[in-house]
Amino acid sequence: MPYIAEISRGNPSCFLFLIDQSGSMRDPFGADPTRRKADGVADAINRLLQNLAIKCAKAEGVRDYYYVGVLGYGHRSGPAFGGALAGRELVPISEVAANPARVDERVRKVEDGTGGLVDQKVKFPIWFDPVANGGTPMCQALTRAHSIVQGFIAEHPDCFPPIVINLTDGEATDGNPTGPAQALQSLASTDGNVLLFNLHLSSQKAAPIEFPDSEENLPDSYAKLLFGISSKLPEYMRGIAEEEGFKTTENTRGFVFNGSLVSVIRFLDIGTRPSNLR
Amino acid sequence: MRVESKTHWLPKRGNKLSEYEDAFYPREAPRGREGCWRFAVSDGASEAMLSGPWAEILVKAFCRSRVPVTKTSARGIIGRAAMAYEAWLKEYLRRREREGRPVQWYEEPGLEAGAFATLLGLSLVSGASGDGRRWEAVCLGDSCLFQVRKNRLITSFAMKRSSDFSGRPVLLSTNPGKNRVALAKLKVTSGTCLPGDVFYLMTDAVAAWFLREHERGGTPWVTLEASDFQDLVGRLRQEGLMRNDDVTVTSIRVV
Repeated sequence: MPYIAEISRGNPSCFLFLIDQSGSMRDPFGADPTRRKADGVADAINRLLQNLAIKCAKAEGVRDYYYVGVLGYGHRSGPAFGGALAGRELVPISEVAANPARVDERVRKVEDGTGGLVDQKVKFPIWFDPVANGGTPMCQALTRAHSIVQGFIAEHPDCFPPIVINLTDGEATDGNPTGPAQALQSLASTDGNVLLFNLHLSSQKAAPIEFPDSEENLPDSYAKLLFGISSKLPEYMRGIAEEEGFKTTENTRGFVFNGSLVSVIRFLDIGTRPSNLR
Repeated sequence: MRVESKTHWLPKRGNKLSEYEDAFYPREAPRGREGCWRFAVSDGASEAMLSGPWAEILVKAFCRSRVPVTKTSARGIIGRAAMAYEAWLKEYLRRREREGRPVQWYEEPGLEAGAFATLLGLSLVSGASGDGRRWEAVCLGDSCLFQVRKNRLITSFAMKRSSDFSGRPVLLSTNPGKNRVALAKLKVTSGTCLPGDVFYLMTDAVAAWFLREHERGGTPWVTLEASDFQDLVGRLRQEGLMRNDDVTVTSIRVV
């Protein structure tokens, strides 16, 4: 049974995020006209990196359960970390934790204990800034992801399979991504094939389609194409999705179409929750 | 009547000894022929920060108490342990500052959430009538107590079957405000023991294996006594028969 390998410092796993940075990412989300897609995605990725570091933190420091990479694709394509990590493809989570490009202060509302809300300042580390410029060279990004993940698996042949999450708002401008996506999904450790999940962000107000198990109700051929290159959820992840209120079958895929920011954050949480940290 | 006890423990495969987050007490076998002997094990939750020190404080708090084991006295012990943890945490944070390693942003949420652990305590009470001796036990979470008499398992507390292990046990928090639900699930039991009886206090990974073996008609206590602990655990983990977790087994033979 695949996708059961322990994730440990001796046998780490990997997350790679592919971020569409094309010009259309400047447009707002359909469900939230005040929020640019590029900004929402940058916040979601920064928060995810923060949470991952927190999950891996122990009293003696951050344990390297994961290696993490962020690749942007648009006018310029390549590793998208800022600051000291600029140019790095995969970075152990302890180095990610130690090297945010900067730490912003944000304000959040917390309960004041008497039924009201008060502002509380919280630290918000930033590794990745929003960019929106140029076309959508998705094939190029998937091909680069292939080479990065292949290198990781060569070093960690028994790892929990790497998870690649592609966040995009449009069609690839450099060809059909099916071939590069399938090549990426065909890579495998002894514990299973690489998982490729696709999150499509929408400027339309249409309701998001989350975790579909067939292409039947998908609105167009583009949605069907992305569905076709999204991996099925492994059993443990179906369990997490079910806990979060999604109905799943064995054909459920890691795919969101017409995603709102809320659906993107929810998906990232389910798709990156650790299964078996040791 | 006297008792002979020993404890075997190991961290998760791949972890250092210093990263072991179970706890047991006493660290050395008790001496003397009479008195009230107490033993405890605790399993600190790996997902939380500083669960090892919390587990350590809980087992000591139980073993240093002298009042009979009841739900009420156990709640008192847990409450005092939480206060002891607060004091320990203050000193820990001061030490980090002194050593030039102040708390980092990625540690803050874990420290705020607090540490979590199970608790299993056994008290062998003096003054019972006849040949027997009364024992009392308290359990919160999935650490287990077994009593073996004449090569038969006669007590299994609080888990009865290997399928009872959910992987999501009830845990005691260092934050008393979070313990209301957990404390409602506190269990106490008692019984009598005879010379020759052996008690085992175990954390979940080894306890689940123990119960599974027994359900198959086996005598896992014989396997435990006859094997080198490290070899046995290594083999069971390798064969997928034991989860890779911190393991602790305290065995107490009534002589």
